Amino acid sequence: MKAVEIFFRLFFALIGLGLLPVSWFHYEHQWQLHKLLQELDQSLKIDTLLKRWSQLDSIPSPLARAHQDYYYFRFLVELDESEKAMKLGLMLQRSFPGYYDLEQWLSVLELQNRNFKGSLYWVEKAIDYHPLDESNYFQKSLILKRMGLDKEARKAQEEGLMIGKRNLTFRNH
Amino acid sequence: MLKLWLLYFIAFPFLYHETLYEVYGLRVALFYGLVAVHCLNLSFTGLSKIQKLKPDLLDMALGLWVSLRFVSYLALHTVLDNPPPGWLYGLDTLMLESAAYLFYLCLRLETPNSEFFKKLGFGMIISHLAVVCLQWGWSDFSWVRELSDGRYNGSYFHPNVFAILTVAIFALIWFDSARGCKKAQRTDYHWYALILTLIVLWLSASKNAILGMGVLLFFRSKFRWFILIAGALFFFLFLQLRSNVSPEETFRNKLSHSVSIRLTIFQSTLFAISQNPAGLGTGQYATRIHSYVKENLHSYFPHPKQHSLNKAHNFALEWICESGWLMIPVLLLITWILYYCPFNHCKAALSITALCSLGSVHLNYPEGFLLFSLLLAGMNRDFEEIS
Repeated sequence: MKAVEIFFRLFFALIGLGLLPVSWFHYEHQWQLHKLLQELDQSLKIDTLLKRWSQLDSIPSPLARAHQDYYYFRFLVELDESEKAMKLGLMLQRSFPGYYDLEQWLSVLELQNRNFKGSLYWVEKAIDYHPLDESNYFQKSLILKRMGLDKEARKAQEEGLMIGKRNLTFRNH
Repeated sequence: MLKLWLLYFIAFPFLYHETLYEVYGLRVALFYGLVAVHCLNLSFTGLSKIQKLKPDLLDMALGLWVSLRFVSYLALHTVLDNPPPGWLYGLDTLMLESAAYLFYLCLRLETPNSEFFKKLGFGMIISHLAVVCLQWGWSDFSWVRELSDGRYNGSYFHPNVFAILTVAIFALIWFDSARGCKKAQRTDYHWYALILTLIVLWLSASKNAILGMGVLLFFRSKFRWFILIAGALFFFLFLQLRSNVSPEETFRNKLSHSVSIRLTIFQSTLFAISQNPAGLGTGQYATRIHSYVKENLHSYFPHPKQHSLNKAHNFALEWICESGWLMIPVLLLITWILYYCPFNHCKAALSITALCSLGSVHLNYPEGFLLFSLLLAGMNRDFEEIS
């Protein structure tokens, strides 16, 4: 009986002590991520991103990890941090294909690297996953134009405009 | 400890602040904290309660459910194709679900009585109305969320979550006389709750919740035909008046569209289930469903960032999709046990929450899930009554 009592006391004490920091870390993580997104929306700077990201990463809270990493990847692309962004982007795409606009951002990244074929490959993938997202077609048009394929670029742009017009009449929620 | 939980749930809609990333960030953080305090309290003072607890069928079936979620989390990182790049992926969902099971067990030890649920129901319905008043009159207040396309959301994630939780709370109040509810005399208190719930339903414009409430009252009321006619009139009036707001609203309120959107999402989910007997992994529906999305779903959700694309709109399908085919018998077992639990106010509220969740997302969000766990703890476990 004594052993059972000690077991239960220890079990609940350990869980309780374990969950207290989880509660704080969860709050802290939510707050830091909000602050990071707000700051980066106002002015996108690599120093801010890396500083805030290391703070965020040091909090041992598993707050929707894929979602958080998606943001980090997107900001890295916008800041032209090609190497880091490509590594993270490919890793995320392998596990979560079609999640948000991952493929479209990979295409943007390849375009920044002047790898037109790679960029076209990713934008086609993006169209496969989200065929009615007009921004994919505008991205495709941009790549084709850079490749000197003006006729195809115009066609992709018209397709994007047509789909965009259609989407306007649908619910945006 | 029960008083602390009562306070937490009554303050539920106000546990929001705009400086947190997720709408439910503060609610979940506080939930972990309260479960921790409850466990520590049990460890120091509540040992006699633990020793008295005799686990019943429902406890064990729910334990099986949590274990399966744990197994599918492990499978995601070890057996399944293309595992995520770290153990943190999916851990947030697993942690919340495990903590909710612990919360359920803690409440089972405290055995909340009908007085607790009466206070909870009335307190929550008042706080829901208070948050509506704040949203209407003081929308700049940082502790209150802005409206979702003109629909009141009570600072919850979505107006549907707000409306369905309100209907569940209404069920707690309406059926508070535990048994023989068809013959129960209603007091002013019950009618006030009905009026407040109708106001919330109107403002949140949730068709799902209105239908759920209609079904609940129809099956558990002595005036069922009167309820049916009054409910139908309310529903058509609601569709008519709400649809005059704007062309967008007209579209939104067409029931046929709502149904076809859901059917399309269900098709995609069923396709994913058929392709993945071991499931997609705990908490991975939103991130991994896109490879199985049917063509026509894009007509409704063309942009990948539209949130509705990331939810199955049916709690059972989402859990089966994440945890694999083994989840089907586990859910059937839980449903079978719940079906045979004697009727009480918690069973009424639980049924309405589950029924509405067959076409909505709220059980897969923390707010709905935590209230569901609370209601499970309040089920009447007098299984001998069955015989």
